[in-house]
Amino acid sequence: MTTPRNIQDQVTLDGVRVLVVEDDYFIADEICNTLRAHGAEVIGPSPDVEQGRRLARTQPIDCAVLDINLQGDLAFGLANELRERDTPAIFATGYDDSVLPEEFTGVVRLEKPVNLRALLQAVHSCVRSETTSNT
Amino acid sequence: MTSVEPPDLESSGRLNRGLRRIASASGIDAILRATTEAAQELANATGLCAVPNDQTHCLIATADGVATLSGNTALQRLIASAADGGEAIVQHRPHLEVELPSRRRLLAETLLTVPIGEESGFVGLAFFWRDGANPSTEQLASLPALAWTSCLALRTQQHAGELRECRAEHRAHISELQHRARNVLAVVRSIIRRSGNTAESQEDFASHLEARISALARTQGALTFHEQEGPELEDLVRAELAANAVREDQVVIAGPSLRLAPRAAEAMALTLHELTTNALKFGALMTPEGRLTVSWSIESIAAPTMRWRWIESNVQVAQTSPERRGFGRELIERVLPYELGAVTSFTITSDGARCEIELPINERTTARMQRA
Repeated sequence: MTTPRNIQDQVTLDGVRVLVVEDDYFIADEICNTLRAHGAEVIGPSPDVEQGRRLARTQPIDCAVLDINLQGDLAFGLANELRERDTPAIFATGYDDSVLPEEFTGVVRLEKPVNLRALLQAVHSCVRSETTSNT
Repeated sequence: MTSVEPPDLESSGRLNRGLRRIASASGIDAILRATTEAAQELANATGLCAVPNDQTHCLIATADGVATLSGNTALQRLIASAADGGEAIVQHRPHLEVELPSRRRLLAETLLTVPIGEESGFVGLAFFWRDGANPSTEQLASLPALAWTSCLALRTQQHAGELRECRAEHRAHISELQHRARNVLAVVRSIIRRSGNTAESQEDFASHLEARISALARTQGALTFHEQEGPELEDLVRAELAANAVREDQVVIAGPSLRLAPRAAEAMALTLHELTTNALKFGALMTPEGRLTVSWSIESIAAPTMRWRWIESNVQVAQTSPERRGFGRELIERVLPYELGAVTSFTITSDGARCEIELPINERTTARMQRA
């Protein structure tokens, strides 16, 4: 059986471009450091939806990690925009399931404080399934 | 609406008392006329099909029996004066099917209630039937019972509505608290990591951590206490200095009233904590001769901005602490710009530490009242 520690060590996200939209500096920093340590390229981080949207429109991205409530602005609009372009998103949030609109019920939701191993797994598997479905 | 509860004598009594009061003031005919006219106006205003007219009968239930009226006259004056006296006419639903205690069902086209006062509940009911669908003598006889049943049903409905609103509000509140708690935990986790990275010993780590979490807890307390209007910046400054037993004669605090939004309050409080701790260990608060000025002003040359300054002076030997390159510096140079869009600087001069923060005044940084 593989221990969680091993999973974290195994996950490689080499060359994966991840947009991070998170308004808390420390959480954003933690997420970005973890992603970078596993080979991902971080786009952002952005503290608000507007800048996140700008980044998503101007830079190629493979996957996005979105906080749901960014200082009062909800990230669902941005999540929809990404979905239309077939870019998978992961929600990292302090809210429970009940705030998720129905259309996002299938989206991976990580509860805060975010478990970084779970985050890596989530990014890894959504990028992998993206690649699989494209081939 | 179909379940018939045992009579609520209290509601029934209120209903009857209210009707009697109106009747004794203006006569029962006046009630009937006014109710009819008011019903017509309401029906017209809401586009109902059932407008009481010559072909429509109006019935009013009172404790003493049933009065019938055809046609319409003016009770509008009575209603108007009732409204002036804090009473109101409420229309509940255009079509109300009610079940009598005898299990017979009646269709009321329009139902009017006349609540008197905020607490008194419903005191008047009027039922209208289309001509040709006139109620039987038996049905008319059961109208007083029907009146209280309807009253109860309406009050139950009203209470259920209030309860639903209350529950929804409660759920939203819990969700918000949960969100805040999780965010605080995330910040605490980050603080633990940061403290671990910069600490020189285990004792050092523990004491830093404890002090930082205390600062965060104080802010959470202030945020909960001032949930609506947000905590005053000056209070945050004074609370941090007081928590560290800083002597008042060493410090000058000056600035206009400014209430901060939660995130800004949190970030500012942590920054204040780091600045204070450093001043106590290495700067102006280390010796009684040292001086500290914390001042701020609000400027709106380009956009509304708060210009905040922490200026230490009369420091014998200005030292650079490890913390000054660590958590405190990260707060000032990274957290404040990232989370609040602030422009910041932190320098150690020969006189002591100096921190400047230019904070844009917007919905992220200040409480709603402040921007209005």
